[in-house]
Amino acid sequence: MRNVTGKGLTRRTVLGGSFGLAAGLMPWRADAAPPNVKVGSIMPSSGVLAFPGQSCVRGIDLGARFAKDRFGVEIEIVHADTQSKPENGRIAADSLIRQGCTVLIGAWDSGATISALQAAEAARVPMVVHIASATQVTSQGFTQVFRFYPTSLTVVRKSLVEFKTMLAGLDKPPQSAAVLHLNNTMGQSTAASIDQAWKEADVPVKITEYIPYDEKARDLSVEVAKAKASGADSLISVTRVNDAIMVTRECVKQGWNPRIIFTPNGNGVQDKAYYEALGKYADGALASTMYYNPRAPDTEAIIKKFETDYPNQWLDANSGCAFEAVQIVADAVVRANSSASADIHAALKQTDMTPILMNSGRIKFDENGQNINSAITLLQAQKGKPRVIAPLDIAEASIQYPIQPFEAR
Amino acid sequence: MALLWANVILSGVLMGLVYGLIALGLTIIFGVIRVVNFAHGALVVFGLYVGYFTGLWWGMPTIVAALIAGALMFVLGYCLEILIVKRFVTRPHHVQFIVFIGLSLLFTGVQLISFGPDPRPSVSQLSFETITFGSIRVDLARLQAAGATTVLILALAAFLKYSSFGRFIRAAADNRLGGLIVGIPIPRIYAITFGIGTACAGFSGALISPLFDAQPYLAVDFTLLAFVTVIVGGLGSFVGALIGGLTIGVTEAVAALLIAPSMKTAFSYGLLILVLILRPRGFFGAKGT
Repeated sequence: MRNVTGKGLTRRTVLGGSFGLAAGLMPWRADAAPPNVKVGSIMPSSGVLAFPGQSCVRGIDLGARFAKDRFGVEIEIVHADTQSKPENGRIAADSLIRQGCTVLIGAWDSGATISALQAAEAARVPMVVHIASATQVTSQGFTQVFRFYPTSLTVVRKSLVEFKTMLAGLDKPPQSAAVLHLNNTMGQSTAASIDQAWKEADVPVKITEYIPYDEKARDLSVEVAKAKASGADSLISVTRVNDAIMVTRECVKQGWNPRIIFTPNGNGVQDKAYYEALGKYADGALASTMYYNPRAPDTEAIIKKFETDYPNQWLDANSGCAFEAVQIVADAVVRANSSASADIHAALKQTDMTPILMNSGRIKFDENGQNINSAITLLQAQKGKPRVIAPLDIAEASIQYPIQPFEAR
Repeated sequence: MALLWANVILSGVLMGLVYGLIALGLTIIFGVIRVVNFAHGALVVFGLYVGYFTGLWWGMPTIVAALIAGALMFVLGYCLEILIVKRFVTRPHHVQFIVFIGLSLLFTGVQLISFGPDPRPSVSQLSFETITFGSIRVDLARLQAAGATTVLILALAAFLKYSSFGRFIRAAADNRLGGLIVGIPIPRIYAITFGIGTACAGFSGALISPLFDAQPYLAVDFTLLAFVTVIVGGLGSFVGALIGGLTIGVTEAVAALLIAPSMKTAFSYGLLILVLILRPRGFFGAKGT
């Protein structure tokens, strides 16, 4: 039969060309599909830090589900518990690496983070630090660390700048403050940062006394009595959530009504447990922290998903930072197109992404692995919930000052 | 400054009495059965949960919750003695230690499975209440616990001294073999004594629920605290538990005020070492304890 479709162009040619095209495209599409990755999550899921630890676990799990939809990355999360003991960080990291995790996220507590980083460093497995503020995390020469959270000095510096701006707008601002702080890695580091940044920012409030307390303290009555006796009219606290509850309880019991209770770096105001334990006495306290941006495009949907998946829980700073850390890993895995530790490490070094949930500048890590564009949000406990009061462009409420006396509630 | 000192000393005294209350069950059991109950802290934690949940669900007053916890824990302690402890009463101390450490781990595991690892802060209004004497404010939850400790110790002392069953218990404590020879029902005495010690642990746990978050991991802290208290006061002595608790409470408070709050636990252990060097049997312990 004569060729009627033109010279050289036959049905066989068309069919063959189609197969060729399909064959050419298929491998390219397979290469583009992001690989599966096994991520180790190290959190204090039990013990004294169980509140924030479990909150982080929720953030990690939700983050993995979100990343699958957003980045197309199948993330298998393997959880490990430090039991709130810093020394267990290394044990947890070793175990996760042995189980095949090629990237780690953790560990909330600075001590546990440093401990885990030693194992990550030895195995050359990158670790994204979602929360841990001690300066030492990124100042000890670790090459595998990528810290999303700012250092305690950065947190405190930025907090005090916001605090000073806020003071300028207050009628009869506080004159003096006692600093009540945890005596652990994070607490000591933050206290030193407060001492330095307070002078740098020239905050017009006199610090009367620094009062360290043990992280396993069963009773803070003497500590609060000392702070009250120092004559301070406000309280700066560096606490975990359980201590924040104890401190406020003691203020109520001892009839001390600081004009401001402010946590420049720590927990309490942003945690659900704080409100459940303190009820009407929770309102008024301030905290600066990394927090979710209520005006970010995905925030509402993420909160809705969180509330569906975890009824009776809040999306807080802990779960938010953990969620964001998973997105950082997913972004790196997509760019690396590999689940190998070395490739993810190289991709993390090149990270330059807009945060999906948290209030922060673009996420970029410096040569020490520190995120250089982190931002701080000022929260105040109002009507039983944390409300964003600064920066003003994302604020949900304005500051209530001074704190209403406890006995008048 | 004088007011600060007065408040701090009073706080130390009340906290010390709370420590004495926590240690009471341990000292009763050791005084009579001569076994060292390393599961004591875990039993106190059971009481804490009773106090927490009865307050959360029914708004029950702490003192009522403590009585309920005491009754429940008496049954638990009685059964525990009959089923497990009695088989180890005459065994070497190291065997007893392992058994009680095992029980402690078992109880903590049960609490973890049942209640989860989260610390559960009290929702009782009592945890915020104080009464005022002049310029001195007194924490009502501590005052209640301190008052209950004093009443409980007096009641137990009276029970041991004046009741016929109390005389049996003292006889069993003094000479187990002699008691058996004269027909005292030692196994029953031991079971009831273990029940009373466990009831004291549960009672104290519920009573301190407005002061401490309920969580399984407190078991170790409470066991250590009880040991420090009874070693300082003297193992097996009610008054010793009271004085030991007071000494530690006041030492911690004064150390926190004078030196540094973060050092107060170190001072209570420092005191323990000092007592072990200077008076190994504690303030009120019998010779050989």
